[in-house]
Amino acid sequence: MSFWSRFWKRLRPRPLEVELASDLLDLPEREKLVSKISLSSSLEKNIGLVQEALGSSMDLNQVRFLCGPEKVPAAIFYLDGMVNNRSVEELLRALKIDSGDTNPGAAGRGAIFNTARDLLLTNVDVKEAAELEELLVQITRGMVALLFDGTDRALLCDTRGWATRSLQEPEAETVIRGPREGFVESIHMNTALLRRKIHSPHFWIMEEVVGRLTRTRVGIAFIKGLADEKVIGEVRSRIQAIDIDGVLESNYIQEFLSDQPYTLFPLAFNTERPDRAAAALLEGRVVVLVDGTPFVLIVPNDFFSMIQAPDDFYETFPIGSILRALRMFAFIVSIFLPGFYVAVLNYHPELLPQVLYLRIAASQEGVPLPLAVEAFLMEAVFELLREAGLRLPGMIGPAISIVGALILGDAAIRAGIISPAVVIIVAFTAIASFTVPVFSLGIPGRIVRFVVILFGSIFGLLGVQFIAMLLLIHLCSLRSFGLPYLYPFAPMVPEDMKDVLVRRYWWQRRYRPSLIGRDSERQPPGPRPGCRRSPDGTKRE
Amino acid sequence: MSEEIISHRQLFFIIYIMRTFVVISYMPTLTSGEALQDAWLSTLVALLFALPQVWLIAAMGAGFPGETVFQYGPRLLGPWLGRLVTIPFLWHFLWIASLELRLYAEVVATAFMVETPIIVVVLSMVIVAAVAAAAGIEVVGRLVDLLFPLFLLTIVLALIFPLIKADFANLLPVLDRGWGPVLSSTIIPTVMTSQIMVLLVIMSSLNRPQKFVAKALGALALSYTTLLVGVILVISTLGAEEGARSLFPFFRMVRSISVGGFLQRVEALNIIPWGLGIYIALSVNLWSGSRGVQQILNLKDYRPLIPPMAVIWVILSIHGFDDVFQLKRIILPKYAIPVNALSSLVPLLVLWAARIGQNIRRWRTEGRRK
Repeated sequence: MSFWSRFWKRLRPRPLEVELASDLLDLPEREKLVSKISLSSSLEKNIGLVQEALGSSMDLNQVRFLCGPEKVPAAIFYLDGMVNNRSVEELLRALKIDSGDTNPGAAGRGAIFNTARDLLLTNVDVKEAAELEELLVQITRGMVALLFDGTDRALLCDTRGWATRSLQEPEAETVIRGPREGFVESIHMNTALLRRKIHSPHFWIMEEVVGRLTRTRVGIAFIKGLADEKVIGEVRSRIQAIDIDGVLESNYIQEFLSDQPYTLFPLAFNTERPDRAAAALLEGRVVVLVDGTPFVLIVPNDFFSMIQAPDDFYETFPIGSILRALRMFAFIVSIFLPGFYVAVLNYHPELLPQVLYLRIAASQEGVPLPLAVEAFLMEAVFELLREAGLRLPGMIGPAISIVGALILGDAAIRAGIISPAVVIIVAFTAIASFTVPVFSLGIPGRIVRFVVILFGSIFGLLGVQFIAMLLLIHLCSLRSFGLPYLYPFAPMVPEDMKDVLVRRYWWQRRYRPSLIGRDSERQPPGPRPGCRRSPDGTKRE
Repeated sequence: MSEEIISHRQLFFIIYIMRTFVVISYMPTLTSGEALQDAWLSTLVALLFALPQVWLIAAMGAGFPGETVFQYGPRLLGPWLGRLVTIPFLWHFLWIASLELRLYAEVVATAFMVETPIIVVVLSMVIVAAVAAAAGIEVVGRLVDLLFPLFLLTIVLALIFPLIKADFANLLPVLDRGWGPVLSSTIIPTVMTSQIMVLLVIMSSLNRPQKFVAKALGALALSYTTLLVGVILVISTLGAEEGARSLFPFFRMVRSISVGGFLQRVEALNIIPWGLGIYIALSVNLWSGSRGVQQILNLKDYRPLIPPMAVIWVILSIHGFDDVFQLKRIILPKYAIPVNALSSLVPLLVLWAARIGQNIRRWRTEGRRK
């Protein structure tokens, strides 16, 4: 190509649709180009535009027909699988058959557009679009685009409908007593699940769209007037600031939302359970729903709410309280026990009762490895088994991990490589670590455990104490949307501590956590069970 | 960074913990003088002496809300004299903290970690304190909130178990040798009350510090009450002579306990609150010291100052003292009185004089205007 022809080409602007057909455009250029194009009044040209823009993808369906008494050429576009076929059929019936009965408009051919919009279409949502970009976005969302010859606008009809999973019990968060439904991958379903729990007009769900390519819908749910407006505003502005190409899971959002990214501990709570999300909303927290994942985020988050399981609140008072204390104990054990064991045996055997020490020392007899290496090894083996059991297909996963644990543990002890005491400690730690109700809190616990073993084996209890203090300082320094992570213990809020140490009776739970929401009274002082209500049914003061 | 706010409750805990762990571990009213079985009396007298001191410190801090001594000092006395007077406070923070650090390290190294070099123990504590100080006084405040119940629980348990062995006849005779020995035991605790000089810096992080003065006195009274109970128990379990001779009487008493053969080695009940107290005291001192240097030198941030200060600290606590007996000598009146007087009491009094002078001048000019 000569210089002059190139120069000429550059000088004369090519039609945009021709440019769109070019394979040379990079993604940002394509996006920019598409955003510049408006629809024309020629049907053929519009069809060309849509086809060029969507690249005649295999799931792009196109139906052309004549509409109305004046037989105006028209076309619909939709993506197969994103729409409900029955709705599309009904739409076509209305446009092809029912439109013949309408009066020919005095305004000429363009009138069919208004007739269709106002009279014919029975879809729940009908929008207009004049720009190509809007049209394309809505098609990819599962809308049907309806184009008439002679009108430079398109009608977008809601016919969305795609296969979703049915409601199931979340496998990671099972309860003995309590609702068994879990969130699914569709945000519509998820908002409905929340709405079904909270029938209040003050329960609001704001929408944001995140992801340049995925255009993932993100819902920010809260109870207006109860949630802190500053938190809501902060959540919105942090989400609006995200400019990423895709969001496939709520953790994408979570990492953008964290106050302090350099921490192992989750600063947003993720759950699959609508009842947990609803409970958080009732405390004045904000729930972030992300389309495409059953995991919703709850902010602000605090440490102690992750030790609580939904069952605590569904079983009667003492059971919930005792189990909660048990879990707290188990969490501490799961972090410190192996390191503590190594430290005590290596440096402070005098702390153990003599008989116990002799028994352990006897089992240690002839074991070739240092205690710390043993503990490290067995913890690593356990983590491997856990991870392997998780990755293997559901049927063989548990079998492999049980067989692996039994055979490995038993053989290692018989061969005299590992002492039985270490196996007991590791197994106990493992069981303890599985009582943590939130998976994302279990992981930092595991990582810290290895650090504790390391320092415990080098510096003894001093090292364990060292790590424990650093851990506490770190936890004290964390905040989630301004809420101190160890609230209500640090800073100390005695009124709220009552609900964390034990789970009090529901009729005692008068107040919401005071640092989270705006209105702290959950219920007025009501009659205790067993007390008679006054005859007219009003609550006693 | 003056927007960091801690609550009155947290500062109350800080003062209580800082003061209590020191007096309960060293029991100065018992070990520093000749009071012997009358040490409980000298505890009460020492409290009487300590209260005005605390009032002087707290009321000074309360007079200048939102400001540390390193900010209002130069304003009261002029830029150069003000700095000259306030710099001893820095030395004081450093000195007290390195002394406490070395003492605790000695205990840990002799009682628990016999083969560990003492510098490892010292480092492990200073690193933690530096991390906490770098995280800010708010984090230290929350840490105190979290640890205070544990501190109190262990102290209370350590005070309950000795009751099994206690023989209160050891407390007799009362005031056998007159008031002289009783008073001799009050010197060191009174002098060491200057430990809470950090209030002059921390009170800048309080809302309405004026209301804190009474609470500071309360915290001190509470910690001396704890000491009183501790002293009485030590005298009645160990006997006055043995208690006064031992380096750490409380530790020794707790160590001697065994309950029914199954509850042994309960000295953790002393080591745990002691360790917690050290962590709190160190981070508070480090924070105050680095804030002081920052404000004296007009720097933007105090955090970069923390690592070098921590290093100086480690060196000072390792090389400043030869062994635990020298440590013991340092807390004798002939050394402790001049050091504390020069590094804390005299500057404090100068500040008070300047403040009163300023008030008088202001009062006069206002009077003249009328």
